[in-house]
Amino acid sequence: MLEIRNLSVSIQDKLILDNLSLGVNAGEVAAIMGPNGSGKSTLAYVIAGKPGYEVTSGEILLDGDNLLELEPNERALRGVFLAFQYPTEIPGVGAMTFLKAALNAQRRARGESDLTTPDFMRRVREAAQALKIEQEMLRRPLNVGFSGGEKKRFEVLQMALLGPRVGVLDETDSGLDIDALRIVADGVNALRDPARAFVVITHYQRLLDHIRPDVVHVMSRGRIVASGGPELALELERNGYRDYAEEAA
Amino acid sequence: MNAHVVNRSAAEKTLFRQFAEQQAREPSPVRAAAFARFAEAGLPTRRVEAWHYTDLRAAMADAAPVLAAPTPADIKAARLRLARRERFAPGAQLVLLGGRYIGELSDRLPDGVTVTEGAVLAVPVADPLAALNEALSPSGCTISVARGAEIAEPITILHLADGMSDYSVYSRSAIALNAGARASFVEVFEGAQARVQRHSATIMTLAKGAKARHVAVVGDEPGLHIETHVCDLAENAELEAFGLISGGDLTRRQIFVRMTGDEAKVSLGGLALIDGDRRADTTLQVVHAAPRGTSREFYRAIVDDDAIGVFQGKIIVERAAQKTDGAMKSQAILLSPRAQMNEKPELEIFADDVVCGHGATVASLDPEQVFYLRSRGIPESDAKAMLLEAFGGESIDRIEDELLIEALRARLRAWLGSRM
Amino acid sequence: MQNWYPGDAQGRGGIYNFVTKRGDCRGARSKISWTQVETGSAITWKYPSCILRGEASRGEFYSIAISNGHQQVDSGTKMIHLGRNTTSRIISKGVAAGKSQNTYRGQVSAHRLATGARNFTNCDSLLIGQECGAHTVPYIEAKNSSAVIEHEASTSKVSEEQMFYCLQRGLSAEEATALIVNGFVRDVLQQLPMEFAVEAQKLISISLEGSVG
Repeated sequence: MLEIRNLSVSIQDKLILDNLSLGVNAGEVAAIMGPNGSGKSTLAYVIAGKPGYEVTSGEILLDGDNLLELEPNERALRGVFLAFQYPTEIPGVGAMTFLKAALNAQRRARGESDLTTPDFMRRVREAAQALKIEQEMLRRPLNVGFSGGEKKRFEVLQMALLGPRVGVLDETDSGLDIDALRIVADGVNALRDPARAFVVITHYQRLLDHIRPDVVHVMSRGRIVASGGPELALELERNGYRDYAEEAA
Repeated sequence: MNAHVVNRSAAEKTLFRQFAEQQAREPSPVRAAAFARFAEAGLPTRRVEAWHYTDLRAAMADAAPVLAAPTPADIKAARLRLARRERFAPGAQLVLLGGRYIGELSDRLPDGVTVTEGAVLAVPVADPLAALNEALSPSGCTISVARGAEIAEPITILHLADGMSDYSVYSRSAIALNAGARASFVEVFEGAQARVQRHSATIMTLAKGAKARHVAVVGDEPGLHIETHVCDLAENAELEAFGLISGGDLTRRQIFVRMTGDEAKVSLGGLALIDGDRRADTTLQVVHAAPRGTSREFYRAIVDDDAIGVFQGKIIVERAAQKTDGAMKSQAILLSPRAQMNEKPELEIFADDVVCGHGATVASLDPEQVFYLRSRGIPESDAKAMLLEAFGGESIDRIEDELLIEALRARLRAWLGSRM
Repeated sequence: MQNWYPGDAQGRGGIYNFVTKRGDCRGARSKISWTQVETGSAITWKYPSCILRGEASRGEFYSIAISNGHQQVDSGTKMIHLGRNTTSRIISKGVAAGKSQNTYRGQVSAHRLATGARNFTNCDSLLIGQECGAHTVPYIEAKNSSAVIEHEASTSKVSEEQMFYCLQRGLSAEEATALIVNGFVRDVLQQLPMEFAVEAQKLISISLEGSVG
């Protein structure tokens, strides 16, 4: 469903992704593990289309369409959702205002009418309850004054409401205590679906105890250097990334 | 050239006469052009935005006679005074007497620094008083710092006045730092009394990667002190400037900074201690003309009795100056019910990718802070002095030179001590 | 709310909007609050003012000024504190897009007898595009030591991070800009009655049409 072919990406002439290829099937949860600086977050940003990255070769296909030719919002409307590692604070924009705008943009793209306010409120309330998000939090400006855990839960709430084709979770476990981690993981697991794929980017095994991956890819120096089943993550936990870092060199 | 100006003030008429006399002695088309610019505008009034709070035309009853070049007797007298005088800062000292550089009173300069006399220097800003300075100053001196030279101790430019008679004194100096040079300059104004009208201009140019510090100390008591400081920064150049005003009936420091090269850095600061019926005006114009420049402006004033303080600061970000980072802050404390402070912090921004801001406050001493100190047993006047020293000291402490910080703080303490 | 004809694509033929508005708070604890949303006209010069004479009287000025195309807006307020314990508050949000110039110009003065006067001013400007200008010209005049005057101002552009975050969620660049601008001006929108706020929001979106490529 998501097919990345020979992708090379530079930032200011520094090569970050080096001829990387990766396929993710519908219904699959693919974990991408790797040491700091291996290019994991860059991969997430390039899938979502963040400006400032120079793609020098390759393509990213979602259901056969090359995402690289699309604007970030067009990609989102095709079903790309990035759960940010550091969700951006936008003072003055209410969280609810923002959710409504995003949902309606998606509906309009599908030729549907805007949600009525009661309908919108109901959906948000249901999704928020599942993630233990207080109504009070939704009245605040977007991500402003949110704790680390609140920001991550709000990212998952957005994912639940927008129902993407492929969810890219960039270090969603960072900065979470164990309770928050479980809530976030349960939120993601509830969204698992035969038609939907996840790319779970993480440095540590512990998130994968809660979101069981189907495949694990090891990334080092901008490439996928090993792929395997869930047992690969456990091996990494025991032995670290050293072996793979050398292999890539 | 001035047909449309009907009424010339007495001071303006005197200035016209003084200029005509000077031209008769030594004609100069350059000076004539400068005087024409002054004449076009005349002495500024409130209607000139940059002079909105200092009506110089109204304040200047007349222009005092222009001081002649010092005689050998004057120089001898100055030598005696210098011998008795305590210096503000360590390092070599250049002496300007009557607005003229006097080599025989000045110290030998450290290696890498030279002084040349004789050039008529343009004051490259559009301001009537800068034009007047250019027209009436004796030919100035230029201090140059060689490429890559790092001068450890500050170089002092002492503007020495004698306090005996009515006169106006004009001076103009240039400071040029060649690429990569580093040096510190202190301009100290001394010896003037209320009948002296002083016009000083300093034109700094910082070549690529040069780094300069400039500290001005106005601590004497001239009737009028008009100081124009112009600085142009090339790529990666850095300027740190500070001005202390603690005397003078009417003081105007006007500072024009232009960041011509990429990634230039400017930090400007000042402290005005204004009491009695003095007036002190600090006016800045900081132009970001190239990308990625940084400017910080931090000014404070303590105003007492019937005094009036003015702070005007304008940050201009030209279209080319993307990624500019500018922040200006001015704060004033009023100590007396009759003291006044006027502030006009301005932003004029033509580039979109910038982060600029300013803050300005005027208030009295915080009664809760005074109370807290008193509740620990400190007398009220001491408590206030502590808070004022802290308030003034914070602006001084931003200078990255311990010795200069100490010298300036000593002036602040002396000013506070003389009043408490 | 002012939305007169701003002129054609070159700014020709637009209305010149020169306005004088002055309020006089004479009684004790009297209050005047000006709220304006300026989106139209080729040139706007407008400075609604408050003369605060009455003891503890209060003046407020809330302003949104949006300029696009070739518009020039020069607007702000005067808060003249004459009476004891008078207070004033100024919140100004300027948004400049296209080739427009957007200036806040205001005066706060506390006079001899205005013991205990207080002012708080906040002026923020947002720039959209590389050919517009945003300017801030406050005049602060304190003649009373017990007065407290605070002024803060900032100028910035719509941040790339904010933009990308919205685009990633499927908003178009135009929708994202409108959303961010509405967030930027929210402090002032909240001062408007509900029906006006809704209208104002729409007006802001319309005014910014074509401001992003």
